[in-house]
Amino acid sequence: METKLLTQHVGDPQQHTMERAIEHGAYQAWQKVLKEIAPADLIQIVKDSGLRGRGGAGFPTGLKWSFVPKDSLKSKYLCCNADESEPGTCKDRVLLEGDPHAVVEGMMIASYAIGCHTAFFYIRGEYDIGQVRMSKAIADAYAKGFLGKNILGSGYDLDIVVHRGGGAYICGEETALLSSLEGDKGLARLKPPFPAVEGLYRCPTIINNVETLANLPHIVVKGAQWFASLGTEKSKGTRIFSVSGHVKNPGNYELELGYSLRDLVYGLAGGILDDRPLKAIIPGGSSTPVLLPDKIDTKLDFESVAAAGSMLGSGAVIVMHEETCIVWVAEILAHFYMHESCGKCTPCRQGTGWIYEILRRIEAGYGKMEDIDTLLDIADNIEGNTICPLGDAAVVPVISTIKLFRDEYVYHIEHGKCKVHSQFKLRTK
Amino acid sequence: MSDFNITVNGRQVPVIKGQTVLQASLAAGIDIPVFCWHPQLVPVGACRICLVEIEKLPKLQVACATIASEGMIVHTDSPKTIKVRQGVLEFILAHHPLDCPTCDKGGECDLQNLTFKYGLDYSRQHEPKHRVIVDANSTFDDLQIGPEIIRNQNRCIHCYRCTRIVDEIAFEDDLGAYQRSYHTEILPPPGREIRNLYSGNIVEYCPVGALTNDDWRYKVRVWLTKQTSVICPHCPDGCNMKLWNFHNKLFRATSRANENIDNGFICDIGRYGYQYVASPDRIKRPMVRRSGELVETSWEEALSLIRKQTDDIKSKLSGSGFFGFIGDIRTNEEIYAFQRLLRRVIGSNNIDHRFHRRRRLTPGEEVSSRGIESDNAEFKDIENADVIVVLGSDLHSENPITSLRVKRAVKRHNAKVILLNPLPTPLGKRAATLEVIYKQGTAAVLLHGLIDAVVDLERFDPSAIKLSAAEISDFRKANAAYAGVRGSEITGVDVTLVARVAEILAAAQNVFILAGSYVERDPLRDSLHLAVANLQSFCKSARKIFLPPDSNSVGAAFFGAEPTVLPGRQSWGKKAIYEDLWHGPIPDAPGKDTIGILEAIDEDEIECGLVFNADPVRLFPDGEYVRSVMEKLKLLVVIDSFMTDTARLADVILPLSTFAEIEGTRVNWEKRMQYSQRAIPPLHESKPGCEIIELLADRLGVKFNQSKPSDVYQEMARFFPTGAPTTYAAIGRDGFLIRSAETNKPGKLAYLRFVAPAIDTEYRFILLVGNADHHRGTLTERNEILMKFTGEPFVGISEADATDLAVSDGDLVKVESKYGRVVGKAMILRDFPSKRVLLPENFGEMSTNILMGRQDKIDMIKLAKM
Repeated sequence: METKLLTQHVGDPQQHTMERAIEHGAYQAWQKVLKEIAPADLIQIVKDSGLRGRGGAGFPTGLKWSFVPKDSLKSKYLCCNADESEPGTCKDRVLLEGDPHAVVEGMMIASYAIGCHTAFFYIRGEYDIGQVRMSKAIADAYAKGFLGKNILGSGYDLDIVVHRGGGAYICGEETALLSSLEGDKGLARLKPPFPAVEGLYRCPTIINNVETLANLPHIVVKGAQWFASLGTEKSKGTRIFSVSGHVKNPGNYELELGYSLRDLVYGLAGGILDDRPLKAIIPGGSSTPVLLPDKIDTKLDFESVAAAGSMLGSGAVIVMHEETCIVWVAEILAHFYMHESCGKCTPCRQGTGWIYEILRRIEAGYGKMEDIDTLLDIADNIEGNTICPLGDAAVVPVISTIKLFRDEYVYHIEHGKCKVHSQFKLRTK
Repeated sequence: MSDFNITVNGRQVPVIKGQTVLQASLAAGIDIPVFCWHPQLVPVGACRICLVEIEKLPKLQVACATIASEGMIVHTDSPKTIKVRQGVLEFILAHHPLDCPTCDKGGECDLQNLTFKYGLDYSRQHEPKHRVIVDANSTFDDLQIGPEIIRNQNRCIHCYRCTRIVDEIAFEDDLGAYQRSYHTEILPPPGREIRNLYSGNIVEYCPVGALTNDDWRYKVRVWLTKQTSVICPHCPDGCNMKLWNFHNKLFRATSRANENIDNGFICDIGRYGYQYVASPDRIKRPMVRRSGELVETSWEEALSLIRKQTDDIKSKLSGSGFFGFIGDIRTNEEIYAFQRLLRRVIGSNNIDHRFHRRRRLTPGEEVSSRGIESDNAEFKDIENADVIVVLGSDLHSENPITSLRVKRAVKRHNAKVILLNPLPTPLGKRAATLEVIYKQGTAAVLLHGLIDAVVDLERFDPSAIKLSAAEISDFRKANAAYAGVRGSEITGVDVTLVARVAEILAAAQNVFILAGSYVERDPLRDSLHLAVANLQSFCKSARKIFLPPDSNSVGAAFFGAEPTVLPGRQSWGKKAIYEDLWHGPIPDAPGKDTIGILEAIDEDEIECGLVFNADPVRLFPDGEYVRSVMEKLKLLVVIDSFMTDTARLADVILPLSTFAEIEGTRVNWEKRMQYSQRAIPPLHESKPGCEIIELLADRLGVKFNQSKPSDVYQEMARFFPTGAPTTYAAIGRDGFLIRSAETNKPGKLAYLRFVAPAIDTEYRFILLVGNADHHRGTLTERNEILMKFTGEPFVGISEADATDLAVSDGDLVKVESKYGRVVGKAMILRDFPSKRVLLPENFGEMSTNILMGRQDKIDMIKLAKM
């Protein structure tokens, strides 16, 4: 059973309009916040609710907000990160296209909490409809007096600026997003200083994911206690899971955290395509380790997935049945990371390309047995040694597939062909 | 000194608060490898070679950007660190071409050295190397990205030093990193090339051979060359450079990072400036005039001729029938020896070094009695100022490294930069907070209007300055004609703009005023100097520097190359000391300055001239007049390296060695004395200045036995402040400052009397003389590389005037004054004020002094399309 909280009205084709959104209760939370709640109390409410970031790392949102220096004379900024580019992930997209007002309202509430008067909405360039609808929603909010100067007579000013990215995965990384927003090339920056202390234009900046922000109106209206009652002990609320790959009904499913992976794959998603046996699952987007079928009963919350040896990440569940060549999967993912590496720091710039080239060679049937150890060693030299987490993400598919499917790599190298796709990719010598 | 200690490899390392782990370790002599880090750049942590293990931190940290904190325990040689270091080197080498045998960086390459030190001797990389092919027919993937700079992208290790130097240090935008991932390419923006004034630095600081320049490329291996330490002779900044020579041929100049001055960044004029040394146009042998023609001869014959002719003149006119000019770019030793030759041997006090474009050479009574001169200030003081006023100076072209300090102040603490100039300058777009363009000749009015606007402000606090309320109100009353709208009508500067400048000045805690060449050339130079002093009095804390025109003008003034002062800036009363020192009499009365000398020649009172590396015919106003006067001389001896306009009139020419062939000292605008080594022996038959002067002195009857600069230096040393080094060996890297106590005598505020010059309706354009891009002064046109940047003179005009005259870029235009005319190609300058014409002073084929009158206050010209 889905628990429809954020996606409750997404199916309504008119939900993106101001009239329909208001019919469905939009901006009630915003009015309540402006009238009744002080920023410090708001941060406490979000802390109490146990809301954790939906971008991938799962960092407690209220805690993140509280890192903004209170006595700083500098402007404070909020950035909504809608640069959703992780392979397999499309959860933010449904919200941007299906219920943009919820995201706008979330941005307003977060801005109010941290004392920001100019918020930025950074959306990846390819999200065209999302961008159009968000811009319209923001314009409508201005018209209604929910944005601008002295909002609803509260004395609080807020502007929201929409910025379209150029289509770079790296700009989903918060410091690269800030560089891009400032008009520079999207390159990651060294941390510290962390954005909460010194971010956009060297001012305190909070970067929150679309889905995180969309939760805020619900928390404000229904209360922290109500939100905390959803989910597990440490993972509260719901999440939107994007199921893709070899399932009968791929799509986005909003589930209470702690839902069983088996029920998602075999229940809601309708089971494996052609009813073939399951081979592997990536539970949280391409940068999370692969799980074997024996972990199918894992509960979908931050802690359980971590205990199973992976991460909940961005909630993109990629399902692979038995006719999937794992080396090929690794090669495709490696190509993605090579292509998306920003090129700033050495290990990621050179390492991702090298990994891809070795994998391509193995997949094409020209692998050497020492390549496997070389791959692991390259991965070790990248992991933890880069400026931003892209390097760490890039080596995950390599390490986890070698760990779990070493025999397939060995078969590729020994036979010059694939165990699964035996009909093609023969060594031609 | 240190605030606390950290432990690095078990050693206690002292740390000054704010230092990074890398800085502290390097200072303690612990080596941590780096590629992308540079002491003057903001750390980016891109190369990752400096990753070190810090206890209690889960991941390795980049030493270059990690601020050291108390109790940190750092390991730079732990197994984890070494593995990552080798891993990073392996990554960098994975696609780096192993073309070291043909790479110019070989031998001084950071990648070679670090691989040698830390790397592995085998590679696991079997994939084909990436290659950015520029020319499919060549294995050299060289791409010309600027007039002088060549890029080989294959060798690039993406440290981004080049783009960061261009961005952070030079404030330019003509180089960037394009594309993403390993495709990242270093390129100028599309359709442009890298040609900023500091572009040579990116070659010097490229850790590998990805960026090279033409002068050095494929010519010589670095380990065969010899290096010498010299001081750049091109401007009064006095940058420290290294000259690299092989078999007595110079191949390049690099910086010799001196934090007092250049911080390791030099401009292209200095970097490529040495090229004129080996110019084929050098005067190779002595020459004498025979039946109207200059013909080559021997030193012996030339010297005998001088002796014979001077004897005749001396018997007729005594010493006062002689004069001497010496160029401001010569060393102190040569200047000192030259004035001694004139005063002691010839018996003439007619000596000057100020034959630049100035009408009034010596300051008037009001200025000199108040001792208005440059304050004692250094480069570092610019950096500490919160407001920097650049008055009448194209700082970017005239003092490129001072300009870098201004930019650094902006970068480091957001200092406000105010430009007050008669024309827009390159610094304006790059670093200026406000740029004010005044009408040439009205700068003094502008400053007085500005002072009035400051006093008008609410935030102006009279108690913060040392003026009484009565003084201030009297000054304002006297100043009323130049304040507000009335002043604005004279200067052409909008009142609101003046008010904005005043706002900034009133809020300033620490002002630095840099006054440049347009102040020296201003028709009201004295009033302007007084106005600068007035402005200083109204600021809370301000220093002023009047930037000298040439590299050693300060030294020339200090060591007696002026008719009214003796070496050490001693007055005439101290004459006996010098007579004692030089074992003989020197003339009683002070001599004539440039103007007096020219007039005296015209009246046949002077018949012989010694012109030492000077070109008054090309530089002093009314060139035709100077030429006609010089032609009247019975004997004109020119000692120079090149056939200048003055040398063409000479009766005897003695070939002079250039800066690279001599040793000696120079004084920059800070009054910092620095020592410059000899890089190569004198070329052709030329001789160093001191040797020539000794030969002349000997021939004219007095032997000093000081043909070596070091001997002259020892004699000069008595005029230095106590404790200053008396031998070359004792002069350290920092040099030493030859400054007196504060010169400014407290005085009353000076009141301005401004009379607008009469406007001639026929000559409606104001002539402004400046520098072309990559040029400064007259030496740069002898330089092949700098001529690649700007190869020919131009006539800079505004867009509005171009439309009026129907002139487009490159059309020939005629510039005519009452005194002469020149023809040149028009260059339409954007944002240039109308009714002004900019001519570069750098090109012999278009000398600008022929357009100027000797008596005129302001140079007016007319302009017509050819």
